[in-house]
Amino acid sequence: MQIAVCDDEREIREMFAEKIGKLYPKADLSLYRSGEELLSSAKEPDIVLLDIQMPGRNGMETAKELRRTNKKVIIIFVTALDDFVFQAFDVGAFHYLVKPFHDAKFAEVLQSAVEQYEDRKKLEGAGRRVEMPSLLITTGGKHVTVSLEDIVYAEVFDRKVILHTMDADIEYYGKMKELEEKAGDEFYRTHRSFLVNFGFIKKYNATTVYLKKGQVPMAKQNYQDFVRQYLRYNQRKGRR
Amino acid sequence: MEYMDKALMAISAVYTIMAMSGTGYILFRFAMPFMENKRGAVCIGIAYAATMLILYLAPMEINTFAAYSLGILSAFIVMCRIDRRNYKQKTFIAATFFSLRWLSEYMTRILSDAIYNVKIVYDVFYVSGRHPTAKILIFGGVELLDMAIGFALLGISVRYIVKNYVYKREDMSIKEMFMLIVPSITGITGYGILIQYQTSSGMSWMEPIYGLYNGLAFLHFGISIVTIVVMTVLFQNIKARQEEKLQNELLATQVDSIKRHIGQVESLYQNIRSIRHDMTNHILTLERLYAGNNVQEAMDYGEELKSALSRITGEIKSGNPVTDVILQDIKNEAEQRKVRFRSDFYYPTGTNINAFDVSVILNNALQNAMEHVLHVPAENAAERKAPYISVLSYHRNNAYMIEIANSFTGNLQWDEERGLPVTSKEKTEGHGYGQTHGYGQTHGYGLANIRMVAKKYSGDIAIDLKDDEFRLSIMLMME
Repeated sequence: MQIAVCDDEREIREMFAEKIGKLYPKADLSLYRSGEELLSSAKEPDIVLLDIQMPGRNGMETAKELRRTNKKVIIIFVTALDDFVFQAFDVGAFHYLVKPFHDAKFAEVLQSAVEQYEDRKKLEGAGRRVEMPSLLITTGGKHVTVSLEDIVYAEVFDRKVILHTMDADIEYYGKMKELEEKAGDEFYRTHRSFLVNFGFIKKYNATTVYLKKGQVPMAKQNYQDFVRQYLRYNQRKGRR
Repeated sequence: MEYMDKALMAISAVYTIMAMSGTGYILFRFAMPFMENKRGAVCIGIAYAATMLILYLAPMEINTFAAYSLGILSAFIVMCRIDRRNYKQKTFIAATFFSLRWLSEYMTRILSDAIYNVKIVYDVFYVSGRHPTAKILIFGGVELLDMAIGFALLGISVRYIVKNYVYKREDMSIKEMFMLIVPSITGITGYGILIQYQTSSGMSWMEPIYGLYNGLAFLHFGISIVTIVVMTVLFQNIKARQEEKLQNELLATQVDSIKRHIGQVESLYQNIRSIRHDMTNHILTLERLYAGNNVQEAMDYGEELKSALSRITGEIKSGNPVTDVILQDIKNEAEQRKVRFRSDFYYPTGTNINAFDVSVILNNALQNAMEHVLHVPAENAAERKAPYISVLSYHRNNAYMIEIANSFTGNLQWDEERGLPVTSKEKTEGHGYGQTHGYGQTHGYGLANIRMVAKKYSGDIAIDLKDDEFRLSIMLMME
């Protein structure tokens, strides 16, 4: 397990080093003085303790950059300011610790981060990498595999189903009913001829759903249920 | 003679075509605000006018009523083809337009009848051979007046409906549709009865009763038009008022929440003042300890001071002062009452979500949770586990989620009608926790309010009860 501490103040870095060393003596600990130093390091940390106010690249930008290359990293922000809480969770922060904090609080946060790291490792070790279901269809005489998670929405038109993804529209002869069953609860049939992927929803009202690409109509009688299912969907995805 | 008949026929033809296109235009104006785009509405107007024109030019006899029906039917079909949704509203538009048009047309006919019955006009017009030019002028003038009044009646009623119809994009329910169409049906059937009677009774226009009959018919048509318009407008007003009422209720809960917040901030301020007052004493104590080289004691004292300070000024940082204070308050209370409290809550800064709406949710939900964990029924007291409350928030795309969970024993009573559980506050009705605590004043708060806030942000709430845990999840949509 690799833990990184990134803070421009030496005393803070050393304080963390001491605390972490006590709690997890086996962890591979590295200290960085700036965001740049952290990003240019060859190491890929599993858990990062990141200060927000740093000269040069600040913690928030560093986190964004880090997230781009390292999707799994668990980021804990440590800061004296609480102005960036929401932004922090926008870059998928694990926690936001505001200075000054109690030792017990720090231990609790670090422990749950370590637990998450271990859970994830166990899952990967068991080879249970969740494979995203996909769809095998015939379009234009060719067999094509479309991953369900890429579908923004599907539309039925004249016995043809059109799958809209972010960069293409794929047409094939088929039934919406079959697609709907296969797609499962990540998708919702807002209207007789439209099936939307919950993951691409931007906003909606009683008549229309606006997606990251395009918009689809909503049948009024489905609205209540749609909202309920969307809530359940978000609940399933939880805080990551 | 020949020439005059031709002239009259020409005038009549020109007026008929003008009337058809004019009506088509009014239909376009009527349909436009209800349609997705302007082009679609233009097509509807054209479909109507074109159908009427074809029926007029086609060399076959067709009853006027049937012709009008066909005209509006074709407009209705075009409307449904262009914009495939909300067919009930389209039925309403077609039926209303049809009856308004028909009734206003008949009103003007009765009017022109009355004009021709005026002695001078009658003399000039019907005593043949004299004043051919005057005859043409009278015919042209009366027809023009007719058309103008007809357009005015139709145009004004349509304009009034369009202006007052608030929720144009909202799906119309079957009930609504019937309710709004009934006045049209009454008007048209009334017309049918009157005309049937007039033709079957063989009533002559020479009889004095004819005038009275026409007058009454005129009145009936007029009242029918007014009924159609008023009914639609009234119904829309009621809907708008309901919306307003909901807004007011929301506002009231917000005001309550703001009052609570002010109270909490005031007590916080008091605490800070007393700390500042004590500060000199603390410094003196520390100085004394250092001077006496009691380093360990000084450090302990400092540690104690730190935790006292954070207890008062708050350790919870959720990104918003309003939610900070609420969470800190509940945390302090939980500590006092030996309830484990954990907050992983953050406030969606910089979005459309109002802090006081969030505080309505937090106050209500946390208050309910505190009641649940403290108010354990006697029969369950033995199996009561360590009570806890937790708050968690997260967001995914634009959906912002709040989850509030607490330990729970016992059963949940459901209010079937509202689809919500009955909160113990409502059950105990002024004794127990609700009364002993300051929250008692905010009686009537509850899940219904939380749901109201959620709906305001196009969201909803969900309740899960499993493994001795009660979990309330709230979804709000951010913009």
